[in-house]
This record gives sequence, C-alpha cells and structure tokens, in this order.
Amino acid sequence: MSTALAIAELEAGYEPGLAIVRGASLEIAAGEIVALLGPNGAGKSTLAKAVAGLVPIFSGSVRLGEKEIAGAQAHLLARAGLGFVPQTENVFAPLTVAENLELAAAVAHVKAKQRLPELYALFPDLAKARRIDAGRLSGGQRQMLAMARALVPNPRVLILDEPSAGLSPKLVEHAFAKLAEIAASGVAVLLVEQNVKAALAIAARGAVLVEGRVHVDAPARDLQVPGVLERLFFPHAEAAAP
Amino acid sequence: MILQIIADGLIVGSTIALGAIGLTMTYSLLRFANFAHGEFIAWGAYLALTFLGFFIALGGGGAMAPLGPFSFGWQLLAALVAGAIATALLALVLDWLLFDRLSAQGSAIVLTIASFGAALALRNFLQFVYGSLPAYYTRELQIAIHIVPRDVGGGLRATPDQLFVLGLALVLVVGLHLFLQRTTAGRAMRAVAHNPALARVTGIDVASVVRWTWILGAILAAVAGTFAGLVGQLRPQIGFDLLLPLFAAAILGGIGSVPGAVIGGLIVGLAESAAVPLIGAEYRAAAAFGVLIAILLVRPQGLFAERAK
Amino acid sequence: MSELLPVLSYATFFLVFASIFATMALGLNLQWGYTGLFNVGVAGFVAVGAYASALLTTPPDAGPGAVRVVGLGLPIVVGWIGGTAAAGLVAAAVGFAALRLRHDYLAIATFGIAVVIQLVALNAQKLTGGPFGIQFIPKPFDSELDGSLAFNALYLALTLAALACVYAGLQRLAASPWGRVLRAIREDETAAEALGKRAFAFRLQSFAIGGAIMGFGGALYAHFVGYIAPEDFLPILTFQIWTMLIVGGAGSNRGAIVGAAVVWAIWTIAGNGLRELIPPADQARAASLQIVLVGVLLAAMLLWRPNGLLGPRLSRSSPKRPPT
Repeated sequence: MSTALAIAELEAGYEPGLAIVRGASLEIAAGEIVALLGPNGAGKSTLAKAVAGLVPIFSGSVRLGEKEIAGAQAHLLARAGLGFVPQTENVFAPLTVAENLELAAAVAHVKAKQRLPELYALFPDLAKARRIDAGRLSGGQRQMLAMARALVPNPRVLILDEPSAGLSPKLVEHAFAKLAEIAASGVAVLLVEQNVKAALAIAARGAVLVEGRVHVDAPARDLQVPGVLERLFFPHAEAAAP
Repeated sequence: MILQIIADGLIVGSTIALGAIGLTMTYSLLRFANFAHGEFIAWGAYLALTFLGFFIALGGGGAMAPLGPFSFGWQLLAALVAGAIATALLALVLDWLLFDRLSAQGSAIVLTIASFGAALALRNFLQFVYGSLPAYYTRELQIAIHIVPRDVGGGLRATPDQLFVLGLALVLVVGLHLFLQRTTAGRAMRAVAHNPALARVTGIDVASVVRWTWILGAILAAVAGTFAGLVGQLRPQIGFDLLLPLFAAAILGGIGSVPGAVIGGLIVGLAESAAVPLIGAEYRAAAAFGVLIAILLVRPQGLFAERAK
Repeated sequence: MSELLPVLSYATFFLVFASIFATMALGLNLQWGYTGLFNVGVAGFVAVGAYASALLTTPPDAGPGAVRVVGLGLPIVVGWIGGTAAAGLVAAAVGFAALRLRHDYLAIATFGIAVVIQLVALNAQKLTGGPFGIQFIPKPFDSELDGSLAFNALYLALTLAALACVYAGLQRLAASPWGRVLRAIREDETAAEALGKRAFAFRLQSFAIGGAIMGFGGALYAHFVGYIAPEDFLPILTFQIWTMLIVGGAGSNRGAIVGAAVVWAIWTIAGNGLRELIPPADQARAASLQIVLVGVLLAAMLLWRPNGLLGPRLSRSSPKRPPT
C-alpha cells in the first residue's frame, strides 16, 4: 500500500500567529479510510481545510503522493487529485445536478461524457435527479452530489468534513457504505467526523486530534473499546481525576 | 402618447439594463456595490469617441458615410468595439490597483468606499481630459419613422438609431444569457457568485473568473455608454447620472440575476419615461429613486434573486 | 500690522471652514465610525440643514421677478435648530427604509436621497431659488462687520464653540451605555442579531443623530457664507467629508477633527498650487484635477493606512469569519 497523503508537523490557522492546527502529523494509504476524531474546537475542520488549500498553512509539509502541496492554491489541488467535500453548502444550488458535475469535469479537463455515467452508476439517485436544481435536492441526495462532485476528477485522496451532519441514521449508513465502496476502488479517504461510532465502523484507523495535534493514531477496533475515546478526547480531565 | 412613452422607456431601459447587468455581476461575485461602475459607462462612451476620430482619420478624414438609414458609419461600430476593449482594460487596471488589494485585507464596505473615491477620481479625470462641453458622435440628423400611425394609442415614432440600440441590446442580453447558462465559463461565474470557497475546491480558478467578470461588466458598460451617447449626447456626468437607475434596476431584479437586471432596467426605464408627463422632465431622475425605495420597502431581495442555498 | 491683516483674515476664514467640516465629519463618525453605517449622501443631509435654516431665517425674494416666494425671517437660532431637526428627520426616513437590509443597500439609498435633494434644490425654484440658490441669508453679529476680519474671528469663535459642544456630546454618548451597545452591534454580528429589533432602533437613532449633526454643519455654513446654491452640495462634498474621516481615523472623534483640518489644508493647497501651475484658460480643468488628487489620497489611505492617523487599531480584523 502506497502512501497517498502524508501530513507532517502541520501548522495552520486563519490569522497569522494564531495557529489552530499545531504540528499535526498523519498518513493515509491508498484505499484506506482514516477517521479524524476529536473534541469540538480541536481543529479537525481547520486541518481538513488547510490540506484542501482553503486555510493558510504556516509551516509543515503536506504530500499528495510524491508531490509537496502545502500552500498550493485550492483550485490547483482539486485538479491535481485532492477532492474536498465541505460540511455545509457543498453543492452549487442554482445549477442542476448535471451542471454541477459537468462544471467540475470541464475545469479538471475530464471528459464528462465518460465520467458522469460512471458516477451515476455509483449514485443511482443522482441519475434520476440530473435535471433538478441542486438547491431542491433532499439532504441525503445533496450529500451524494457533493461526494460525486469531488470524485469527478478521479482524485487520489478524498477529504470529507462531517458528511454525516444533519443526516438521519439511515442516510448516514447509506452514505458511509458508499464511502467504503469508493475507498475500495483505491481512493484514500480522510473522514472528519463527530459521529465517532459510524466513522470507526468503516475506518481502518482513527486519529484523535486534541488542541491541534494528533495525539493518538490507532487501529479503529482499538478505539471502539468503551471509554477509550472519552479519555483521549479529554486528557486533562483524566489527569485531574483521582 | 402611451405607446410613445413605452417605446421611449424601453430605449432608455435597454441602456440601463446593459449597465445593470455588469453591476449585478460584479456585485454578486465580488460582494460589494461598485460606485465606479457608472464611470466605466462614461469612459466607454468617451473612449469610443476618441477611437471614432481615429477611425475616421484612418478612412481619409472628412465626414462618416452613414450606413443605410442610420446616422453613423462602420467607423462607429469599430469604435464601439475598440472603446469596449479599452474600458475592459481600465476595469482590470482598477481591480489590480485597488479592489484586488483591498479585498485581500478588508471588508466589503471598505471596497464600496474605495469605489466611491475611484468614481469621483475617474469622473473628474475624464472631465480633465475631455472638458465638460457636450459632445456628439455624429451631427447627422435622424428622421423618426412612424412605426404605429397616430390614431392607434397615440402613435409611435422612433429613429433608426434608437431601433439599432434596442436590437443590439437584445442580441447582447440573449447572448449573455446563453453564455451564462450553457458555457463552462458562464457556469463557473455563477458558481463563484454562489459560493467562492466551493468553487475553489471544485477546481475553478476564482481569480480568473473575477477578471473575466470585470471584463464582461466593463464591455457591457462601455456599450451602454456608447448607446447613451448615440441616442443623446456625451457629457462627463453620463455615468454618474445612470448610477442610481443602475442600482435601482439591479436591486429590483435581484442582485446576481442577469434576467432580473434586464427586466429591472426596462422597468426603471419605463418608470422614468412615465414620470415625465406626471412630475415633469426635471424630476425624471427621481423616478429611479422611487422605484428603489419601493423595492427596498416591499421586496428587498428583488424580483428574481438566484435561489439561495 | 497692515501686511498681517490679509493673512489673519485668510487664516480665520480657513479655520471657520475647517471647523464646519469637522462638525460634519463628527456626524459621519457617529454613523460610520461608531455604528458601521455607510452614508454616501452626506452632501444631501448637509444641504437639508443649510436650506432649512436659510428658509427659516431669510425673507422671500422681494420686488418684481422674485423667484423664491418662501421664507420666514425668523432668528438665526431658530434656523439652526430647524436645520438640524430637518436633516435628522430626513435621515430617520431614509434609515427606516434601508437600515433593516444589507449594509450596502443603505449606501445606495443614501446616494439616491442626495441625488433627489439635489434635484429639488435645482428645480423647486419657488422654494429653493433653483440654480440661483438663496441669497442674503442673515449673518449673526452686526451687519457692518460683514466680510471683515472681526466677523471671521467672531464666527470662528462660534463654530469652534459649536464644534466643542458636538464633540463633548458625542464623547459622552460614546462612553454611555448607548454608545457601548452601538460598538457591540458594529463589532459583533451575533450581538446585533441577538438584539434584533432593538439593534434596528439603535442604528436608526445613531443614523438620525449623525444626519442631524451634518445638517447643523450645513446651517453653520449657510450663515457664514450668506449664500447657498445647489452646486455647494455636490457629491464632492460627501467625498471630502469621507476622506477627512478616513484620513483622521474612523472611530475616533479627535481623528475626525484632525482629519478635517488636514484634508481641508491639502485641498486648499492643492487647489492653489494647481491654479498657479495651470494656465488661466484651463482653470475649470484644474478643479477636476484637484478632485482626482484627493481621490487618490483616499484610495492610498485605505490601502496603506486603513486606520487613519488617529483611528483605533481594532477594527481591521473584526469582520473575519470564525473557524468552524
């Protein structure tokens, strides 16, 4: 298994001097799902956005395959094979489903005629809704479109920021099953999640981010032991306990 | 009478619509109210005047031989194109000097203040270069054609130039609509207007889309200015006077909506033309303000806002 | 002594204008610096104050061919109060229509009201005298002093006193609970949303008071010059006041006053310099170049020193989105 994404000693944040991600390191292999977990405010979303080129990186390294990409512009990263699915507002509401996907294909120089049928096969719901404005889709369909849009340029790495937020348990199950399918095709998946249970169910490993650093990186089944995550999320609380 | 008012309103409205399209596009993409947009109209009109002189001299000087029933020759059409290109360059320079730098460091309202300052500087620089006396593209007299006889709705007359303006405006609007709906570049513009961050992670080069929006907006503004100069006269305040109607039209149509800007422009044009017999020609400009306040009070999101989220 | 007189006379003249502009800039600072309300129609509110005060205090035109038929001939104090109140009322009306909406809609609405006020000043001849404006507006003090150094000096004392009153009043307002709420609304969108309708009321009050102060400035102007016309209230005036506030530092009352003096000095020097440099035939063009220069000054300040000379240091980073 080759390393698809390697993050090393990453520092990033919105304002200079105010790092939210403080020296995080993490590696993901092709075909692997890694769940990025952690308490609120640990910097999970900021880490994801920094890798995607949306948040300034102060120092450290991010490698996509062999290439150093830290500090590259977001649109170039997208074309270079790094797919990112934001948590909210992750589709172009005024455009139809097909137009969302066609646009992503055109800017990445991917042939829409070939690629779209493949994606419609993966997400049959979208095939039926292709002429509908994305703004009128249901929450579940919208999440599928957001994933499909990120997959258009055949990315090596797919980063999702809380894809389960706002979805019913049944839809989460459906969406995560799709993710497992996508990973099985060789895509490295970084899954930022609050829904720890569902994420660890499909992930090979879990990384716990606390105060901007990856404190623990362990196989998913080790983290599924009751009580383990609580202790990892709040290390200070444990230290204070007798 | 009533038909004539409608026709006059549509002719003025088509100029307002062309200007309002550029305004609404920069407004929705860059998220600030650009008070300098009116100056693109004025500069476009005057740059066309300069190019017109150049093209006439190129053709051996003397008078411009009119094309068919129109008051102008090919030289004006060439000047229109050259003026539009030069105005697009002006917009790019202004973006590079001012707006691009400011948007990196501040909020939208600072951009608005800066655009207000840029508008005054541009307008006065125009006045400095060209002087403040009215100018004309052509001295050729135009005879209005009777399109509808006098016994039907008061009759309708229009000059060939006015019909040309109306026709070309229609062609531009339809062309732009198709561009935004069908082409990748057009869809990318709509995508950036809706959500710049998502556009970036989709692989869209936002900086390039912004530049193209300036270019398109400035070209349409320059065409609007040339039209206004063709059916009226050129004055340095031509852009300033259109600014309020443009804003009224853009807000009426819903910020970001190109069809909205067109319909908004036509409505404001009709309101101005209907205001003349009602409150007098001297208060014509107040009609746009009336439309603006009415829409702010009744439906501030405009008639055709692009569906949010 | 006799050589010094013109210099002194000019200095007092200059300072009267500087203090009147400073008053207007203080009004704008309340709206923009404290409350974040973007007013592009400053000239309109100044015009309302000037015209209202002039109409209250100046009798109608007399004799045959009289254009202006309205005018009350009341005492000047009544004019000042009336002008201030009229501008405040117009500001309240515009604010009512536009303050609930996106902040830039207020900019557009105020731009519009200034255009309409200009139209009325130009065309409602029976009321405003049209393009000829209102002449023979009464001046305070003895009429024999008119135009002399003594008059300028006395009027300067008056405008300085007025400026001091407005400054002190605004400083007290800013320090009061009311002023703290304004800052909270400006700095923190969530606080503004939590206040809901009350935030609207606070904004409206601030906008109306700011407009009234601008109107007061207009009234001070009218009774100093004794003659007003529509061309005194063009958008260039709005632009000057804005440049004064930005140069001095938005959010600081002292900055507004310093900015008024500095920009008025630059404006005057640039105007005189250009008049020297440019041949008499092109004097009208020189005036345009003067405006271009100040436009460039404003843009340069925004780019390189957005907090102005005396502005608070905090406002630049405030409108950033929180990390989610």
